[in-house]
Amino acid sequence: MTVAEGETVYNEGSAPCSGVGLAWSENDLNDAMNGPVAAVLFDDEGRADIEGILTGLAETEFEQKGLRRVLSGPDSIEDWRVGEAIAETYLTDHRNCCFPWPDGRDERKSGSSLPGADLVGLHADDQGDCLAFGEVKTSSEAKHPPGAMYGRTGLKQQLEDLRDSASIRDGLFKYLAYRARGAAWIERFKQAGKRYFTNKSDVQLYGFLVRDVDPHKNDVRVRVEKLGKDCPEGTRIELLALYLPEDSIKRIGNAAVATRAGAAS
Amino acid sequence: MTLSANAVEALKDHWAVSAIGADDLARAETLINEHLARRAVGRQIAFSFSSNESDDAFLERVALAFEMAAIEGLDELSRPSGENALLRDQATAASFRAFDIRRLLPIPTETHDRLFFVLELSAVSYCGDRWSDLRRWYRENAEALRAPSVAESSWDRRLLYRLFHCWVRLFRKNGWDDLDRIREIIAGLREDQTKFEEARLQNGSHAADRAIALRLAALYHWAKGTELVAHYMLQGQPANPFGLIDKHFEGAIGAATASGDAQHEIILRWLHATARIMVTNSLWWATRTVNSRTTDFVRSLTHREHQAMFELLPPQRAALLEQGLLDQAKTAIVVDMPTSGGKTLLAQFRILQALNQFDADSGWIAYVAPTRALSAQITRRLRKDFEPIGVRVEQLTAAVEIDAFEEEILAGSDQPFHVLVATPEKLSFVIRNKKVEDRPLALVVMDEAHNLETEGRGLRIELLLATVKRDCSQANFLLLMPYVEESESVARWLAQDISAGQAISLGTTPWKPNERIIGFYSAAPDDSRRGGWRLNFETLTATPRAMPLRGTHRVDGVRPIDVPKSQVLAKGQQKGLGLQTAAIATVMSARGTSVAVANSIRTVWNMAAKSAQCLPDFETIPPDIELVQDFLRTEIGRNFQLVAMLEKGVGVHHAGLSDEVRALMEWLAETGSLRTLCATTTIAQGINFPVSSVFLQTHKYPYGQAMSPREFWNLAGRAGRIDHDSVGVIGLAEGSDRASLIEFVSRSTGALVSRLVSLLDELAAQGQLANLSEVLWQDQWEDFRCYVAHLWAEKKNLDAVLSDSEQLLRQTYGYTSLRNDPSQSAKAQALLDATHDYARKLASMPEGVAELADSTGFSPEGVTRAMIGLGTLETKLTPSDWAPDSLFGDGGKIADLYGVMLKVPQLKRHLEEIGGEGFDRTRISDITRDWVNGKGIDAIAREYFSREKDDEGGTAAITDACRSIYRAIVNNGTWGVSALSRVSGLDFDSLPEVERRRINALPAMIYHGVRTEDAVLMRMNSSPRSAAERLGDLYRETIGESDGRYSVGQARQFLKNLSDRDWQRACPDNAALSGSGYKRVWEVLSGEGGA
Repeated sequence: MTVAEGETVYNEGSAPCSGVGLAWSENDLNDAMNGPVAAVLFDDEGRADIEGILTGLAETEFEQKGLRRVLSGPDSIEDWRVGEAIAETYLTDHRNCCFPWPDGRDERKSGSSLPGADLVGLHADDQGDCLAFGEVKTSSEAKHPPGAMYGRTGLKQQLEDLRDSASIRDGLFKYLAYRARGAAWIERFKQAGKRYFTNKSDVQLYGFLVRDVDPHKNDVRVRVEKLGKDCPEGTRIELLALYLPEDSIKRIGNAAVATRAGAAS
Repeated sequence: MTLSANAVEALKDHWAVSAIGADDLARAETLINEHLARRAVGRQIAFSFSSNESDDAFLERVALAFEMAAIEGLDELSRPSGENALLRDQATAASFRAFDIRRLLPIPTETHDRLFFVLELSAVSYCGDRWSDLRRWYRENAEALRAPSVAESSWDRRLLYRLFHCWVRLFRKNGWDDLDRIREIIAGLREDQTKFEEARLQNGSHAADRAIALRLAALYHWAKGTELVAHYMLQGQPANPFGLIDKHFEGAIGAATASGDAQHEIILRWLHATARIMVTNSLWWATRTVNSRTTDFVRSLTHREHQAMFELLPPQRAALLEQGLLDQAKTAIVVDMPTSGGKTLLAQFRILQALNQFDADSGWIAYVAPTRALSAQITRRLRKDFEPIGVRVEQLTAAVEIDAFEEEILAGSDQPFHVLVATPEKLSFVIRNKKVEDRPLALVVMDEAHNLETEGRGLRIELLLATVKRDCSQANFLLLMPYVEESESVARWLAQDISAGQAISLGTTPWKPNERIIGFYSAAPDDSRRGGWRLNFETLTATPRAMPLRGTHRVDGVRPIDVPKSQVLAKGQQKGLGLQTAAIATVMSARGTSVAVANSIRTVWNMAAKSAQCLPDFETIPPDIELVQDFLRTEIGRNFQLVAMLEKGVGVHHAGLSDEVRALMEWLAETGSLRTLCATTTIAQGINFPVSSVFLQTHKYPYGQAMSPREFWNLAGRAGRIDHDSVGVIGLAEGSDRASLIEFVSRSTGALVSRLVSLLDELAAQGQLANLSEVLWQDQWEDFRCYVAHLWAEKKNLDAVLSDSEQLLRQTYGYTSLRNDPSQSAKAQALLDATHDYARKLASMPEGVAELADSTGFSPEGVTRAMIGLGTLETKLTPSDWAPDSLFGDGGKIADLYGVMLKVPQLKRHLEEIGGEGFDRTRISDITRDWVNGKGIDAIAREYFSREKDDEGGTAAITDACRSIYRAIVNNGTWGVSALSRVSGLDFDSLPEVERRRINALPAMIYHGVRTEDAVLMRMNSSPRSAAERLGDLYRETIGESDGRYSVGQARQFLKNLSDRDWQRACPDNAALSGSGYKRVWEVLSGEGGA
C-alpha cells in the first residue's frame, strides 16, 4: 500500500532544482496514518531493547536510577517525528527512494553532534541508484515560508550544507555503509557508492515541508531559485511542500499513538 | 592475523576502491609518498614535486574508498578471528591504507571534530596494524591530543572529553602511570555522576530526555569498556577479558544506536575493534599460556620506569601468536625479520621458555653476537631486562681464549649464569673444550646470523653451529637475520628432525618500522654565487624497499658546507665524495642524527672535521656529550680531536678507537645527542641503533669489495627511528658510476648461501675441485681444518675419524645442501675426500696437536709452528718467566713470545698490521708492556706512532695506536700468550696456586690493559681503564685479600654499590672526569643503572 501522491497545487523552477506543492485530503491523510506511515513512525523492527540496555548498565558501576526513570516512561510522539515519517513514506512511494536508516527513533535534534540529515538513503533515477539525503520540517506557521526555513537548524542552512559540504555527505555515506552490511539493498548501495566516488556531488537532495496551512508557492519559491544557483554539477534538488488538511498536525501524533494502542489491545 | 601483501593487493578489486580508477589510485600513491617526503624532509630538501589545492580533497576521496572496505569487515575485527578470514583481512588491509592517507590530512580545528578525528584515526591505525606509526603521529601532533576543558561543559560532553583523554593515554602508552591514571579518571567520573547527571536529564521534552538518557547509557558503557582495556594492558587480568569488553562495547553501541547518535555509534564500533586488537597485541595476551618466568618478565617490562612496554609490534605478534616461536616442538627457528622489527624481544621470550624447559637440569643459553660492540650492547639490554627477574647474564670477552676469571664465570658454582653472551669464536672455544660442565646447552641464539655467508667469518659460524649440533644434542636454535629469502632450508638443517624446523619469515609483510627514501646525491655547479655549488638529491624508484619517488631535488642552499667548488667538482666530474657525504649528512642532521659512512678512517676524520666546522654551536651542550668529552680527555688526551668535534655534536666510529669510545658514540647516537656520526663501512657489521639518515660515500669496503645487498639493506634499515621519524633517508654518493650503483640498489637479497658451498663453487669454477686437498692448507680453509681436528681430538684414531667423517660433514649446512642436490654431488664427494685426506695428515702430526688445536683455537698447523718456534728459542722459557712481573718487566720474555707468534699464521696477519717504522717483535712487546703497565693512549701514540704531518691533537698517531692496541695486541697478543702457555708444555701445576692463577690472568691483563688481577675484574665489569687500578685497590681493601674476591659477579656488585664519592677516590689525579662522571660512564658502558 502506498500513500496518496496528492494534488499538485504549484510547480516552481526546473533542474537542477525544482519545487512542487502537493495537497492531501483528509482521506489521504487518514489512509497514510493508518497504513505505511504508522509502520515507519513506530519502527517496529528498529525498536531498541531499552530493558536490555538498562540491565547491562549495572555492571558499568555507574548509577542507573536516573536513566531508568527517564527511559522506563512511555514513549511519546512529537509532531516533527510524524512529519518525518510522512516525508519518508512519500519519497519512498513516489520518488523511488529507499531510506534504510531507521529514523523513527531518531532523536538527533536533541543534541547529537553529527551534522546529518533527517533522511539518508538511496534514490533510483534513469542512471541507476544514487545517494539521497533529505531534510524535513513540519510547521503550522501561517507564514510563507515558515520560520523553520531559517536559522542555524533551518531547512535553508541544512540543504546548503548537504549541497556544499563533502565532509557531511562523506559522513552520511559512511554511516549508510555500516547499515549496508548484509542488507537487502547492499547492491543498490554499492551502485550509488560507485557513482559517488566518480563524482561526490552526484546526489539527490530533498527538502520536505509538511504543512497544515493553505498552500502557497512562497513556501519554496525563493529557495528553489537560490539553491539552483551555483548548484554543483551532478546534484539534483527537489523541494516538496505537502499540505495536510488545516490544523491536522497537532492531532495526528496523538491519534497515531491512540490508534496504535487500540490496535494492540 | 598479520596483514599480508596479498590482502593489500586484493583491495584494488573492492567495489569502492575500483570505483576510484586505476589511474587515480596510482596518482594517490604518488601523492601520498610525495606528501610524506615533503612533510618529513621538506625543510632540508626542496622537492621538485608539484602540488595543488585540490590534492587534499582528492586524497579524502581515496581514503573514503578504503574506509568503505574497512567498514565492511569491521565487525570481523570485533570478534575472535577465524569466522570470515577474507573479510577480516580486507578490513585490516583497508584500514592500513586508509591510515596512510588520513595521517597526512589536516586536523580539524573545531574541538568536537578534532576529538572524533583523532579517535577515528587512532582506531583506524590499530585496525590496520599501524600502532607504531600512530605513536609517531601522536608525537608530531601533540596539540591535537589536548583534552578540552570540562568546566562549563554538559555532563555528556564532560564524559566524552574525559573518555577522549583516556583513549589518548591508551593509544600513546607513555609508561605505567599514563595507563594507571585511566582508572582514576573513570572513578572520578563515577563520582561526578551524582553532581551532573540530573541536570542533563531535564530538557523540557520527554523525547529529548530519552535521547540524552540513551546517550549517557552509551557513555557509561564506553567508560567501563575503557577501564577494562586499561586494566588488562597493565595487569593482564582477567585472563580472558574479551567477554566483558565485548559486553560493554556492544551495550554502548546499542545505546548509541537507540539514541540515534550516529557519531558515537561509529566511533564505538571502531573502538570496539581497536580494544580487541589492543588486547591481542599486548604482551600479556601473547604470553598468557607460557611459563611463570615469562609472566615475571612481562610484569617487569610493563612496570619499569624507563621504556615500559605493553604491546607487540605486528611482526613480533605474528611470530609469537601465529608462527610458533614458542612451540617447544620446534628445535630450530629461523626468524627473518626487517631491521628494527624487534627481534631481541622475540629472542628474550624464547630464552625464557628454554630456561624453563631445561630448569631441572640447569640448562644455559648462548647468545652469539658477531662483534664486540654488539655483544656489549646485547649484554646491556639483556641484563637490564632480565636482572629484575633473576636471570643472570654474563658476557665473555672477545678474546679467543678463556682466562682465569671467565673460567670462574663458566664454572659459577654458587651463582650459575643463565645466559652467556659471546662472539662466535669464543663460543666455539667454550663448546669444543666443554667449558660448561654438567649443564646442557638449551638454546643458541645467533644474532645477525646472515653472517653465515660472509667471506671472513661465515665458515666459522657455520661450523660453530655444526659443532653445537654435534656436541650438544639437546640444544635448540634461534637464528635472527634480516632480508633472507627461503630461510626454511636453514631451519631444516639445524633441526634434528625434519618437522622440528620452523622458518618465521616476516620480511614480506607490508608492515614497516617506517618509510624510507633512497637516492643519489651529487654536486652541481650553482652560478648564483661565485664559485658556487650545491647538492642535488635524485630520488630513486629502483627498489621496492623504499618509497618510489621521482625527480632530482635540491638539498639546502648554495655551498651547503664551506668547501670550494673545486673540491667537489672538477670539469663537470664528481669528486670529493667524502666531502659531499659530510655535506648532506650535515644538512640532514637538522632532522635527527645522520650517519655518514666512508671506507677509510682518514676520510672519516676529514668528514667529521668538515661537518663540525659547518654546524652551528649548540645552545647548550647536551650533558651526555659533555660526559663523553670528559671521558675522552681523561682516557685519551685533552687535545684529542674528537673532543672538539663533539662540541658541535659530531662523533666518529671506526677501528681506530677503543671499544669503549665506540660504545659511547653509539650511545650518543641512540639518545639522539649526536648530529652526525661519521663512520667507516665496517659499521654495517655492528650498527644496532636507529638514526634518522644514512649516507654512504661508497658501498664498498676498504679493499674494493662491495657490500652484499643484505649488508647494505641491514645498514640502510637503520635509517628511521621507529618512534620519531616517519621517513628514514638513505643516500649514496653518485660519483661517476651511476649505472652500477642503480644495479646495486635494485639487486635482490636472495637466499643464504653456505660459505662452504661458495668456496667449493669457486674451486669448481677454476676446475680445481679435484685438487681440494692441495689447497686445504690455505687460510680460507683454516676453520674447516680446525673442525676436522676437533673430531680427531675426540677420537684419536684414524679409522674412527674416517668412518665418522661423513657424519661430521652432514652436520654442516653446506654439505647438507650439496648432498640434497644431485647436481652438486661431485662437490660433496670432493669435500668428503679432502676430509679423509686431512684426517690422514692429522694422524701423521705429533701427538696432542689436535687437542692443542682445540684448547688454543689455533689450527693444527699453527700449533705445529708454535711448537717449533718455542723449541728454537735461544733461552728456554721457565715457569717463572710467565709471571706477570717478569713477562712485562724489563728484560721480560714477552718479545720472545711475539717472535713465536709472528710465525703462527692466525696471529701473524693481524700482528703485522701494527706495521710502522721499525716494526718488529721488540716494538710490539714494548707497546704491550706499556699498555699493561697503564700508560695512556696518547703517551703510547706519541712514543710509537707520532708522525710529522699530524694535527695538534696527534689524531693520526692516536688512531694508529688504537688500531694497534685494540685490534692487534688486545686480540692477538692475548690469544698468543694464552695459547703459547699451553703449547709450551710447561708444568704449571708445580707452581704455587697464587702464581698459577696470576699466570692464568696474564691474557686478561693484556686484553684490558691493566697490571693487577683486581683491576682486571674492574675492567671486566666495564670500568674505564684510567680508574681500574685504583678501583681494584679499593675493591681489595673493601672485600679483603682472600681469594674469594676473584669473582666477576662479586666485583660487579661492588661497583654497583659505589657512591659518587667512592668513584672520586678512584679518579686519577687531574682527571677531567669527576667521580660522578665516572660512575655515569660506567653505568652507560655496563648497562647498569637504567642507562
